[in-house]
Amino acid sequence: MAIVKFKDFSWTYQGYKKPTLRNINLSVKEGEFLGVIGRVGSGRSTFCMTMLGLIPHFFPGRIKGELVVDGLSVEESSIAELSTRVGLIFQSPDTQLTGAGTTVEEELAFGLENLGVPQKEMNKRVKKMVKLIGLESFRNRSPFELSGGQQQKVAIASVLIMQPRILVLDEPTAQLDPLGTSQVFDLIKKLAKKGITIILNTQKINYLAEFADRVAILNKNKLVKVDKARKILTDVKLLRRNGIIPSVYTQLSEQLIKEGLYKGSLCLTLGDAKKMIKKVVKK
Amino acid sequence: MVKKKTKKKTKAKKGIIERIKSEFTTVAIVMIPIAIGINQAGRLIHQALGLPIWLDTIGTIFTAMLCGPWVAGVGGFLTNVVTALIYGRATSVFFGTVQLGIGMLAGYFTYKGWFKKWWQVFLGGVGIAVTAAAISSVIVVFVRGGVSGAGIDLVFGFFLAMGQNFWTSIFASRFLVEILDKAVIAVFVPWLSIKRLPDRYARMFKYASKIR
Amino acid sequence: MPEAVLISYVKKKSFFHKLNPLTKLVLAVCAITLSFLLKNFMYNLILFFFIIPFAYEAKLLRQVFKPLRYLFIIFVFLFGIQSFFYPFRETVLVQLPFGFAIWLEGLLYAVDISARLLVIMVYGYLFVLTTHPGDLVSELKERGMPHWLGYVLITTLQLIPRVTSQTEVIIEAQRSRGLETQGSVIKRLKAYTPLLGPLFMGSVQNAVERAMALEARAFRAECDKTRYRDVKFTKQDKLITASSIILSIIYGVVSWLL
Repeated sequence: MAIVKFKDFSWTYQGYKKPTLRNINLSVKEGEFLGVIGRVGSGRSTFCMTMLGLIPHFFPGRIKGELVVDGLSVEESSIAELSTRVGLIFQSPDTQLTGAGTTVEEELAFGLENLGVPQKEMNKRVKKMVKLIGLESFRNRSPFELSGGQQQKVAIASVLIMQPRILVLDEPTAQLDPLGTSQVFDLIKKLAKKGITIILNTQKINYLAEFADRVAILNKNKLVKVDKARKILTDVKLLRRNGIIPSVYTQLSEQLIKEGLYKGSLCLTLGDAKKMIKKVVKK
Repeated sequence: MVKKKTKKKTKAKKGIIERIKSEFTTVAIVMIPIAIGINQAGRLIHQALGLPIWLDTIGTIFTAMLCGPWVAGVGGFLTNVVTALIYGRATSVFFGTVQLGIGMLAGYFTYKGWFKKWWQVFLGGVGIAVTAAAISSVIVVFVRGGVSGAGIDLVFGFFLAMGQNFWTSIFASRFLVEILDKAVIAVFVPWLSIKRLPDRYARMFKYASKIR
Repeated sequence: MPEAVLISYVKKKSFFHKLNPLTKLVLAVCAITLSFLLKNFMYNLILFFFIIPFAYEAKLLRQVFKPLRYLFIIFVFLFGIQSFFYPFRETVLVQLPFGFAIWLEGLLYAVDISARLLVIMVYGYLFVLTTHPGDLVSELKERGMPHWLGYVLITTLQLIPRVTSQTEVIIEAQRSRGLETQGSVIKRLKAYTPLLGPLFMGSVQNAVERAMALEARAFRAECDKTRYRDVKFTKQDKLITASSIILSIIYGVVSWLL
């Protein structure tokens, strides 16, 4: 069953002539991990904002077609309603921590306070979330004292606590250092294993290659292609045509094939690369 | 007939409350802490400058030009509530009414569409200076016997020594120190910034279109 | 006042600290209101010294008098101006050359205002010293304050120290670049006003991002809100609140009857 379904979906921001999203047709299955890639300005961020209903309820503009998320028509539901079904994570750890709480725990609980969840239940869920993101010793610290990676984990937990079935992440590591990036991806991996539907917009192909089921390419406001992750991410021609640089492992294998040192298919992950290097060294 | 009339009246009243409520969009609410932050930054820059340009209402006026009188009024008043909470200076709350007045007046001017040309902005700034001087005169007498513990007190003392009436002296001294800040910097810097704001951001604020 | 003191709350283990924020707020508001209504400065001075047992219990006896340093400058100007120029002057206390004089009425007026300021400052400060803003907001929300206002207050309190340190960095940078704070007026304006433009531009983008994050947390949900931070209103709170109000009324009335 599709948990997210775009049907001829188009979106034009108020004051713009051309649509930022054009005729999107896409279904995402429950529990699936969908990667979204594309060059800057291809409409990826806007795409992410549709599912929580920021489009059309927060940003003014015109909708065409239909988007159904977890059985709700986005156009006819409020953002608050959708927020218990879709969690949306943004780039900047600084601006997405609301500051509504003076401690990590309170920041996590903020969404539940807004939903009117009873205190007992709140306590239970906060405890669970703090454990999930491994920040037990920071429970009572101000979220603004944390590192970027830790802040981003708090942000993820603060929407997960509302128990959405879908998690949409819009370049969650774009402003993080390598350590923070790997911390966040470790958490995403953990969540994927738990079976939550994940839609991840990122430029970090290396990470995407490891756990995405399918990958969608956006270019010039259109959905160019959706297919199995490996198929898309090793299609170097397709990637380059859409302004995306393939994974370093893919590039390495491409180079070795070109130089005649390796005969086989293109690599994608670290595991592939290891196998390839073993073969090359044996020769 | 009479019944109908009263009904209409209550309806109109409800309309006002609904209208005020509708000004508090999420972006507008978020602007309040940011406005207070800008006021604080302005205050610090003022201290570094060492000129009678207070800069501590620029955030309030900026918010007035983006989100209207009610949001700016709340933001202005809360600036002082927060100062009171942070520095523990309870008298600051009384002076919140000055910020409230400035925010609401600047918002009202924006609402009326009186902030389109530069000379209108200048006149508006003068109006804001007069209002700020009037409210702060009353408050400063009420709370601190007319003094601020700063250079302005010398101006006040000078007017008194020249034989001016008490209220004239306090108002004149306050107006003198407000006019440069309010009629020039505090209105023009936010105004020019909003004029230059990219469309996609300006669209998120109801009042920005009344300025651009 | 030094800018370094941000958020005055001092955590201590005391009965006074444990009181409900509203109880402490009522006490402060009662004292501050009284300070305007009492007959003369003597009553205000008594009220001022009445803070000592509270401050002592809260283990903040020395800290509570810290705002007096800030008041000192005010007092200097207050006495300086009012004892010479008070508009309702009648009785000369000391005759000075050039037609100047120190007037009795002016001096009394300055004393009146000073005593009132002492009361306002210390009671306000004791409240802030002993009350965590989180507790205050949580309690106010429980009593019907709109939840968005609670968000605004707490966020601002956390934002201000950060804005302060960021601005200080910028000012320091401008200084070290040789953009003097002591140069001519025009020079100084040129050094600092360009700093303001980006401040506004950045803040708008910031606002839109923050607003989206709030929406993602069901900020606009229309239902009865609950609270995570638990604050209790005990029998002692009831007792102290009631006696603050009643004693204030009695003291106010007595000051005018005696």
